[in-house]
Amino acid sequence: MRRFLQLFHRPRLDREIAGEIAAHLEEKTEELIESGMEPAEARLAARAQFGNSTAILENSREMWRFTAIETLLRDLRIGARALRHAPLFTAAAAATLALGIGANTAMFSLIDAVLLRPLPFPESRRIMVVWERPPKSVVTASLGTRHHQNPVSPVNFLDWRDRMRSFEGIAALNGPLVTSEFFHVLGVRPLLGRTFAASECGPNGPPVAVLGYNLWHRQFGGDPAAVGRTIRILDVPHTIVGVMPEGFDLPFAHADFWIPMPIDRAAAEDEGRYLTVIARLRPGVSVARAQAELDGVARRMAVERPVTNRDWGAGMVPIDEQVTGEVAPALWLLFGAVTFVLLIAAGNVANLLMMRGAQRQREIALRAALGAGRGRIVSQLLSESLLLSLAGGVLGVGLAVGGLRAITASLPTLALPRVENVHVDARMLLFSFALSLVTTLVFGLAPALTFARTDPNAALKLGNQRATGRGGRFRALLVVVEVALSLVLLAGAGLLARSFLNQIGVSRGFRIDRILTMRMFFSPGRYWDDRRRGRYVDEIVHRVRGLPGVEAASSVNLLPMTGVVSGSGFRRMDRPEPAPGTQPTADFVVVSPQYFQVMGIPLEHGRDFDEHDTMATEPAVVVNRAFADKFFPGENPMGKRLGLNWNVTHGVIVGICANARQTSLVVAPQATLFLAQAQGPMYIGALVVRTRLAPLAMARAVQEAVRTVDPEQEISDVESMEQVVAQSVARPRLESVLLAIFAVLATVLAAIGLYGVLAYSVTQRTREIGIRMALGADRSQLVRGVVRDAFGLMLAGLVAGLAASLVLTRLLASLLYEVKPTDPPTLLAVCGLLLLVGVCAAWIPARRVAAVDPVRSLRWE
Amino acid sequence: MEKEDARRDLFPGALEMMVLQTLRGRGPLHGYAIAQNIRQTSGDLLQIEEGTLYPALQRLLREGWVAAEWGISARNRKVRIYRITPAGRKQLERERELFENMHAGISRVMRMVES
Repeated sequence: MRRFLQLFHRPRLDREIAGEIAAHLEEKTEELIESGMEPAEARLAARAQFGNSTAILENSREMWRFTAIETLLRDLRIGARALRHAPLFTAAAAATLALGIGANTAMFSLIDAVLLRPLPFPESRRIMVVWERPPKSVVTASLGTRHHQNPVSPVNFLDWRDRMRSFEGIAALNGPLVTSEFFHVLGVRPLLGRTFAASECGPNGPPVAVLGYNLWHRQFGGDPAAVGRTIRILDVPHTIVGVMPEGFDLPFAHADFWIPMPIDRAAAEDEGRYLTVIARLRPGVSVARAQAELDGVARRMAVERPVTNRDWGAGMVPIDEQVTGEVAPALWLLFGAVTFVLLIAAGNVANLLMMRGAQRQREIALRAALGAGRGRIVSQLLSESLLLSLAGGVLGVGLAVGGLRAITASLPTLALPRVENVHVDARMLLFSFALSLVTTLVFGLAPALTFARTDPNAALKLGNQRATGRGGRFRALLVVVEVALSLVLLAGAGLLARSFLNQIGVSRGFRIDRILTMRMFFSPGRYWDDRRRGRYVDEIVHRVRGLPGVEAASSVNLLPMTGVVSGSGFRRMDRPEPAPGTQPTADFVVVSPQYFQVMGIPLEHGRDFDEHDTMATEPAVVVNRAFADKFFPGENPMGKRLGLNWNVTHGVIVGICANARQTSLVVAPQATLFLAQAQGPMYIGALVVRTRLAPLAMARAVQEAVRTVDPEQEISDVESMEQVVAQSVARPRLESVLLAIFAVLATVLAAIGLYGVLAYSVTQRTREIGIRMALGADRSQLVRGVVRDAFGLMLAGLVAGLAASLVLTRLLASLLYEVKPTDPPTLLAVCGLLLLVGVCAAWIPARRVAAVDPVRSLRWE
Repeated sequence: MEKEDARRDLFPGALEMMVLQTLRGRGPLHGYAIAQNIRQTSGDLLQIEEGTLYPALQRLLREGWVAAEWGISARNRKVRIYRITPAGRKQLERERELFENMHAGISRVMRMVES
C-alpha cells in the first residue's frame, strides 16, 4: 500500500532523496575542508567517495517496486518521441510488420474457427463416425481420398448396435432421417421441447419432427409456441416436438430438421449401404480399443453374411477429424507459410533497426556515459521495438479482417467446413497482441543487444564518422535467410499453381460452356410411384426443350463435378455368376435422353436413350469406353446383357460413349454405365440444359417451365456448368492463391531487405568509393563490386532455400495433382524469378555507385 | 557502464543489517552520520561507496523497518533522521541469527585442516 501511494508522490520522493544526497555531500565536503583540504578538491573527493549520484538516485527510487511500470511507461514515451522524429523509418517498419502480423492473424482466425474450436457437442472427442471399409477389389478412384469410408447398410448398423460394447450409444442417419439415439450420441439437449421418444422411432410411429434453430427462426420467427404445431415435410404434416439450439448441426450431414427413421431388420435385409453412422464411446474407452472390438465384430459379420459382407471391414474416425481432416494439412501449411512471411518481415525490421542503430551510436554512447546501465539501454531500445510491433499489430488486425472477409466471400459454402465461424473476437485480438510481443523480441532483441554493447569511449571519439561494420555480417545473414525463406514459399506456390493448372487443364471429356444446371428433389409424397415420377421428370425435360434458346436438355441423378457418384455391382449375363462378394462394380449414372448431347460427350457406337425406352421395354444401358475396355476387352459389348444390383435389375448395352470425368476433375474417368431415367427413376436429380446463349440468362425461363409442371417443385443451386466446375476446385484454388500471395509478399519483403543492405553499404562507403575513383579506379569495376555483393547474398540464399525446399515441399505432396514435390522446372523457374528480383533490388544501389562524384564524396561529412 | 565489481565484498542484505544495528545502537541518525558510524566502527575495514546507503535506506523504509523524519543535523543542515521501528528490531534479530549461523559455517570451512 505504501508503495502504491508512493507512485503518486513520485516527484516528492525524488526531491527528498535528492535533498538528502545533497546534504550528505555538503557535510562530507565541509568535514574534508576542516581536515585541511582545498574546497575544490574536497568537493571532488566527496563525490568520488559517494559514487554516481544520478544512478544512486535512480536505484533508490527503484526500491519502490512500481518503478518497473513507470520505467516502462517512460521508455515508451521516449520511444514514441524517437519514432516521431523518424516518420519514414517508423512507417516502413510498422507497415512491414503489419503485413506479417496481419497475414498471421488472418490464418490464425481461419484455423481457430475451422480446426481449433471444438465442435458444439459435449465431450466431442468421444464421438466417432463409423464407416464400413470396402474390400480392395471394390475401391475405385471415384471414391476419392475417403475411399475407405463407405456408408453403412441398415442391417450392419443394427448388428453394431446390438454387439458393440465400447459404444455408449450409436445412431444412424440418412439426410434428415435419424434413429432414436441420434441426439443422445451427440449429447445435446433441445432448446425447447424434447427430442424423440423411443415409441416414436419404431415402425408406424407418429409423424414428429425436431427443428433446427435456423429453420425455427425462418418458419416460426423464433416463436416458442412453435412446439406442438405442425410442419409439412415431404407433403406429410409432422408435429414439432422440439427445437435444437443454435449451431447444432453435423457439417458432413447438414439438416434443417430431423425426423425419426425406423429400421425394420426384415425389410432392410437386401438394402444397399447408404447410412451415415455416429457413435459415442463409453468414458475411458480408447479409440484403439473400440476399433479392435469393431474389427472383431466385422469379422464375425463377414462370416455370418458373406453375400454382402465378405472382405468388408469397418473403421471409425473421431468426429472432428471427419469434419476437418481433409482441410487441416493445407491450413497448417498455409500457417507455416505466413510464419515465414512474418519472419522475413521481422528480419527486415531488424535490418532497419540495425542501420538506424548504427546512426544512433553516438546517442546511445552518450546515454551510457551519463550512467545508463546496459539493461536500461536494451529496455529503452526494446520499447521502441514494442511500439513498432504494436502499431504493426493494430494495422495487421485491420488487414486480417479485410482479408478474411475477402476469403469467406470468395468461397462457395462447402469448400471449407465451419468457415462460417470465422469472425473478429477476443481470441483473434489476443493472438495478434501476443504475436506482436513475440515479434518484438524476434526483431528487436539482436539490434538492442548489439548496440547496448557500444563502448562509449570509442563511439564518442569517432566523432561524426559513423561506426561502420557493426552488425554488417548479421545484416547479410538476415538477407540470406530472407531469400531462402522466400524461395521455399515461391517453390510451394509454384507447385500448387502447377497442380491447380493441371487440375483445370485435364481433359474433362465433356464441355462446360453454355450449360445451365439446377438441382431438385422429387417429393416422395407426390411422386411415390416410380412410373409417375419417371413421367414427371420426362415432362419437365420435355417442357424445357421446348423453350426458345434451348438446344438440348436432359437430367442426371448426380451432377458431374460435385464430388459424389453412385455405384453398384453388376455381372455379365453371358458369364457364370461370380462367387458372392466377388462381383465387379462400376459407377452408375441415371440420365434422360440427350444427356450426351448436352454434355458434349461423343457417342462412339450405338444410340442414345430415347422416348422408346420406357418401363414397358427392356432396360437400355450405355457404357463408357473405360467400361467396355475393362469388362469386354477385345469384345464388342453392343447387345450384351448385364445383371444389375440396382432398382433396374438387368439391361442390354445399346451404346458406347467416350470417357468423361464424373466425380471431380482429379478423378480419372471410371468404368461407368448409364441407365435411362424413365426406366429407373431416382428421387434426386439435376437438370442440365444446353443453351444457345449465356446459360444463366435462361435461368428464369427454365425454372418457370419446371414450375408449370409442378408449381411446388423445389429448385436449388441454379448455376452454369462453368460455375459448378469452378466450385469443385475452389479449395485448391484458394490454397494456391493464398500461398501465391504469401510468396509474393515474402519475395517483395526479401527484395526490400536486400536493397536496404546494399543501399546502406553503398551510402557508408561513398567516401571510400570516391577515393578509389579519385585514384583512378574503373567505375564499372566498382559497380560490378556491388552487383557481386548482391549475387553473393542471393546465391547463398538460393542454395539454402533450395535445400530447404527439397525437404519442405514434401509436405505439399498430398495437395499436389500430377506434379512431384521436387518438380525441377518449377524449382528452376522460381530460382530464376528470385534472381531476377534480386538483380532489380541491386540495380538502384549499383546505379548510385556509378553516379558517385569523387569530388563531392570527399567533401562529404 | 556500471562497475559491478566494486561492491563484491558485501553479501546482499549486509548493508541493511549494519544500518539497522547502527540505528539500534546509536539511536536516530541521518544518512551521512550512519555512513560515518559504519566506517569508523569497522575500523575502515569495510570500504563502502557511501551512495549505496541511500537505496538501502529506501528499502528499509519500504519494508517498514525504519522510519524517517526531517530534522536538523549537528552542522545545522536540514536532513532526514532515521530511527529503527519495532518491526526493524525483529528483523535485525532474524538477520543477526542468520548471519551468525552463516559466519560460523564459513569459519568452520575456512579452519579446515589442509591435508
